[in-house]
Amino acid sequence: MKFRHAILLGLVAGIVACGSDGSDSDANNSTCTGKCDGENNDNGSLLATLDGRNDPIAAYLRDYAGDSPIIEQDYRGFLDGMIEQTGCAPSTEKTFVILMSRRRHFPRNIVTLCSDDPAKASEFFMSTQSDVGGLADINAKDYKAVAWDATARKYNLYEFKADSEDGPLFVDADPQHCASCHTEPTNLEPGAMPFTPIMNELTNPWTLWNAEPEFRSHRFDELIDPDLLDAPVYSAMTEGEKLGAASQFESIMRSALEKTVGARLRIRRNAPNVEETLGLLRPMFCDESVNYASENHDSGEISTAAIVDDSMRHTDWAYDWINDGRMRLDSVQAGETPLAVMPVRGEAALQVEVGLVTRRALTPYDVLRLRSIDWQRPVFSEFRCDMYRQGSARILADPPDTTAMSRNSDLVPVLFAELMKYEVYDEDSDETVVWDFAPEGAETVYDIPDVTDPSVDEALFYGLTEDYETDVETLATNIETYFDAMQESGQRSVLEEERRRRGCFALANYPSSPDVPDIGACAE
Amino acid sequence: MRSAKYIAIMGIALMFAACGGDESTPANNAEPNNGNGKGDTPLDDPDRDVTKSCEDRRALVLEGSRELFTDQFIRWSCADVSGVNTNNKDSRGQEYCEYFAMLQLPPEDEGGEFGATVDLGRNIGEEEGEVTSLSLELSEDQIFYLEDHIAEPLGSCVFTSWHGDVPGPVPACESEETCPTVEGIAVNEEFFRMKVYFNSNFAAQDLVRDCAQATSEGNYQIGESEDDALNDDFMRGCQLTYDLYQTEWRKSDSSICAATMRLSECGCVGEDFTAFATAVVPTVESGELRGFPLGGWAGADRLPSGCRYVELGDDSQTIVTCDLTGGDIIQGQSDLKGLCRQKYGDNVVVHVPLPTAGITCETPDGPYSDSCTATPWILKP
Repeated sequence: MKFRHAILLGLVAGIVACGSDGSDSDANNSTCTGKCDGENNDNGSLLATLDGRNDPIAAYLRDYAGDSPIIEQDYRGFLDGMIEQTGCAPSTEKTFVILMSRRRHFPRNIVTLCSDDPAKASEFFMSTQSDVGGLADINAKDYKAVAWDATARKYNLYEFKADSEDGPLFVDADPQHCASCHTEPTNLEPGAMPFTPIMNELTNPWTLWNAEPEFRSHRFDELIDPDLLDAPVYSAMTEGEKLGAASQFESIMRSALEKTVGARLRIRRNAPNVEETLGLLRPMFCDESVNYASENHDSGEISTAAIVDDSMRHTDWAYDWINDGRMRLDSVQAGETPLAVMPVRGEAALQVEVGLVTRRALTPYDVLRLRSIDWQRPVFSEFRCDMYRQGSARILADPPDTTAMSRNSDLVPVLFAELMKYEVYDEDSDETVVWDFAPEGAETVYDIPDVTDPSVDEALFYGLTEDYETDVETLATNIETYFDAMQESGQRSVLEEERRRRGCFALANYPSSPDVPDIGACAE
Repeated sequence: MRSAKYIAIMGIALMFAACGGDESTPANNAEPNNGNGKGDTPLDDPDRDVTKSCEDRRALVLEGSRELFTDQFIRWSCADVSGVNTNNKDSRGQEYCEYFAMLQLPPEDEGGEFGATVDLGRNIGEEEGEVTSLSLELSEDQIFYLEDHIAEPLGSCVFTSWHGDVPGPVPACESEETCPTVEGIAVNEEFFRMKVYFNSNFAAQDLVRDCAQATSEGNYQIGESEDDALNDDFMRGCQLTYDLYQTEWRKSDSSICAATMRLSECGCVGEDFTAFATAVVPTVESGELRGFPLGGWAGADRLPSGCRYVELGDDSQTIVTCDLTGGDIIQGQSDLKGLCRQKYGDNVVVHVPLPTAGITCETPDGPYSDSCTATPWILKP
């Protein structure tokens, strides 16, 4: 059966591509390594690249560098220039520190200005680079920066890098090789997802981020190289009030997501365009982005997104077990370790889905109908993504008539309805069965906890789906039962196994994935 | 359990329901947000497992990343705990902190005028659930406007800890010229003072006095065997909170009562429990406390990003506003108060200042005397 075949393919892809320490060793420079290995520094026409850009870095470079792609400034001089350019007070400069962990726990410092104002702060980020081998300090002459273009409603990325310790810095105003971390994973077609800033560990306890002074850091103090704390550049960037807490960066990052997601959702206001609208719907089905949740130290508290899709919280369900967004696992027992760096559905993708509902392009009911399929797999459901792949192929082969439509928002429900159909092909009988998971007029959902359950496979082909057809109330009860069970004693090991499965998939497909600790070898 | 299907559809309906913040309409009558047949606080579930409830609280208080007991303060955040909801009535605002949303709606039609200020989910009576409307109806042009200003602050979440029994006006509003405004509304008792009866000086004093007295007089449960959970300081204080008020689920009550219990166990309370209570929570007549000051986890005067104090002229730090962006308003249109809880509530922190200079302890003999420190209110795991 094609259905079964599709699931297996997804698993194989996950196994083949992981098992190494991330993708640092990948010779293909289009793969994100957590570092930009600049190779386009000799671009001689900086002004041409900057043409039409309306972001503060472009404005700064036009004034400072003119048409030369060379500047003399290390990160400090650049930041001083940006302080002047943005009008932010020097005292608002904050450095947020994350330990990049693919090779060693080396700090990446991210600097914002106007840091007490998330909307303003998210207009500019400067980031130091990762370690490529044995650095004793942050390299002051190797950094990236992104800035919000208020006219184009997108982030522009810049790279600054010196060839030698004493040499000038080359400016790359369009470093394509850096972008792969910030857009689609490798298993999805590129193009639909805009450049999006990343904070993988978006929620408390912000694993590997400095969380002080607001909170106690998680896996930061004990992992950072103590020699680095006194290194000149690191010290200068984090001294006194400059060191910012992860909770503050979370609010800045959420503002950045608000900008990128908001800009993407404006696509629905465009004239009808099937490909554009399919791109808008894709994050509902396929995981374009991922975040990572951890237990809050030894408290057992963790985001509910670890086990239930977070978008259900936005569908006006009245159930506390989901609406609060936090859950508490049983106390950590001897021999157990709190869950750390558990992949969960990406906030950027989730907010697109929520935004389609709040902008009335879809209904909460539409969302529940999709989320009820493979709901025990809130992230990395190959089945849901396969629905999109199948459906988009059908749609592109036979596009709907849009002549009576005025905007993409008119197309959204039409395309969504088609994407909610799934074809099962049996090679033996040469028959195809089409299942419609959202039949028009029906007030039911398909409650399918786990599509890899063999009985689901059988049911989908032999027409037993009435076994799974139910009302929303029953679905909610079933999810609540599962949700409660996961908080009982002994369930941490079940979630740990799921964390490993997701971790392997993330490492294989998401170039920006952090180290997912203690998952062992992915390939069996 | 009410039909979840109804709930989902109700959610859609709420998005389209015309409300706009009509303050004359208590939400508990007009628009129960949704319902699952359960109560609106854990208090409505008499069969709840109190030990589990206290274990959950203890884990978050002592094992998490936040520091709730410091050398100067007892702290908790404004966000209500899990189980406080709007199922039948809006019961949010349980933690000596009430919150709501305010904004001026953008023009209904492109090129039109901004609307009058609306407030959403603001408490308007002494009983829980008497609140202004929760939801907005946004026209397509309003959504477009908000989307065009997606990250700009276009409204405010208001957090207030101004106790309901402390009279106004605030000093800054004794003169119209100096009186601050929020979304065009001048600071006044009607809008900015807490309303629900338990968010008061009186209630806080009662809590401290009762916890101190029960402990000092031995009228509370302690561990009966070596492995009894009640040998844990927080668990004992939490159980006492339940025995006195059944409000062990509140962050505020369980934290205050546990800290007070330890102060009492360590001989720091004295024999005049009312005097001790008024040292912690000064009387209304003294004019010393408008409400417990609001701050952030980084400090009593360090608010989270996007938030700022409303200057009241008395340094009380009892009214805080936090930005609502265009994107927030679109996303939270069915319940902006809920969005305030989610976005800021966990990081706007109530601080109870302890009169540490006046605290002297003569530790008596008792089952938990050995663990008394110079700062017994700082509970440890």
